[in-house]
Amino acid sequence: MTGAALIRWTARTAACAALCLSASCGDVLGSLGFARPELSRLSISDSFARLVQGGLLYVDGFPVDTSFRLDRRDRVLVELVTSAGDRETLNLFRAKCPPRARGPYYECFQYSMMMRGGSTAQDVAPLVQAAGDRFTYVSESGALANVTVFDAGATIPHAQAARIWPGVSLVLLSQTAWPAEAPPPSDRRGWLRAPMRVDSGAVRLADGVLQVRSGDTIRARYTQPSGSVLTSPPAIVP
Amino acid sequence: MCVVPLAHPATASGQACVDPNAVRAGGSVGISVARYSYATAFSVSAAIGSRWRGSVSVGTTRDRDLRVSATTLGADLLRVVQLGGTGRFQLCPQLGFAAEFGPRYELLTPDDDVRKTAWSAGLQGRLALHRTTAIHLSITGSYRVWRMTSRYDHLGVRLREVTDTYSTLRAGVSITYRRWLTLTPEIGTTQGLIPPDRGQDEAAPFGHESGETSLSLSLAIALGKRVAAH
Repeated sequence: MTGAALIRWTARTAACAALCLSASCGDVLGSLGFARPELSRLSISDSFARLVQGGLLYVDGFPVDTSFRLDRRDRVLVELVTSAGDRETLNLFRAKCPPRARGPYYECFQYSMMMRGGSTAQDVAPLVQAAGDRFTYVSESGALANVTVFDAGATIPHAQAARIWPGVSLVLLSQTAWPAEAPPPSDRRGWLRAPMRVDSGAVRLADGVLQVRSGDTIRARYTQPSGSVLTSPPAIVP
Repeated sequence: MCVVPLAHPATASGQACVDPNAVRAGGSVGISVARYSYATAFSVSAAIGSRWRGSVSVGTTRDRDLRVSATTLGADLLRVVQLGGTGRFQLCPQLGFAAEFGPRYELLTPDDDVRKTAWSAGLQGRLALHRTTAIHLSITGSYRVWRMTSRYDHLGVRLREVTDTYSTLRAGVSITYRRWLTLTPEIGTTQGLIPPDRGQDEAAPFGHESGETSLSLSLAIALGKRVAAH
């Protein structure tokens, strides 16, 4: 190999390496895909369901293989159906973020906020709505609130933005919300979850929002690798 | 003179063990970027010496998910041992120290601080494949064992202190142009970290997952006068 050829090779190597070392390399090399692990259970969380106008629900999936870890670029596709005929698809992701083996964890789809004295969560409700998020929970006094972010990748940016909202005292990523049906701690890394917006009113198919009315039943469905369909116990709209 | 070894595995370039015929005498400065599965590390460094070489480095490791950073300081000392008399092969025993400060998770544990220190010992090797006046091409490899102590504080009160041992293995290619500019792409892996699902980072370098393969790229500029080829 001549010196000039080596220089050209070096330049090409450097350019390729610089591309792969850039912050967006992973996103460039890997687009979103779908995984299909065998699930032992599928449920609509009782702890995070507000089946009202402007509400939401969470769907949880529990892989049979407790060592299963969903890749950060993958999702698990489930379907939500209501007795009134609405039908929406939902991409389950990890319940706990960030997607890695060690380090501090937080709820992928939630953050918490504490308000200053004299302010309540309702004061920032228009800002929450403008961000495309919804309240998961608001304390009776309005001093504390949990906010659901429907895109796991947006949870940190939205939480950071909320820190400077008027009346907001403290914003933290949620670390403690484990519903009663949670698996033991060693198995939680494989836990799958995603939130879905809920509104009242007439059914609109596949619009990304589940429309419900009082008395409706909601079920989640998942097609197992074997082709069989796993169905969640029903959630009943009060 | 050598290009710079960076003390911490997050930024270690593994390029310290250079062929003295390939670079100038005096010192060098360098920059390095390394990409891990969820973090990116940048560092700058400076080195001085010939057969015995010392270097210092400062860098930052950025968590792309959590958007937090840790700062790393490092120091290294190594000895270049020529083998075979032809200058084609060098072995370099190496000692290092690194300190890592942070990150501070403002959205998770805003009142907690973490500080890590690590001593290391290892061996680097370099084999020259192609040598001309303009270009020196070599393959490189290194293995280092690290003994790290992590200290976790909450509002100034020590929560816990953990010490553990892990190792880093790196291999790459080094291209030196006219004895002053050296480019080193490398791959590396970290082994033996405390198993996951035990809570915090513990005694693990920030940004690393055990067993993951990382990619790094280092660029160094040698300073000083040209030395005669052996």
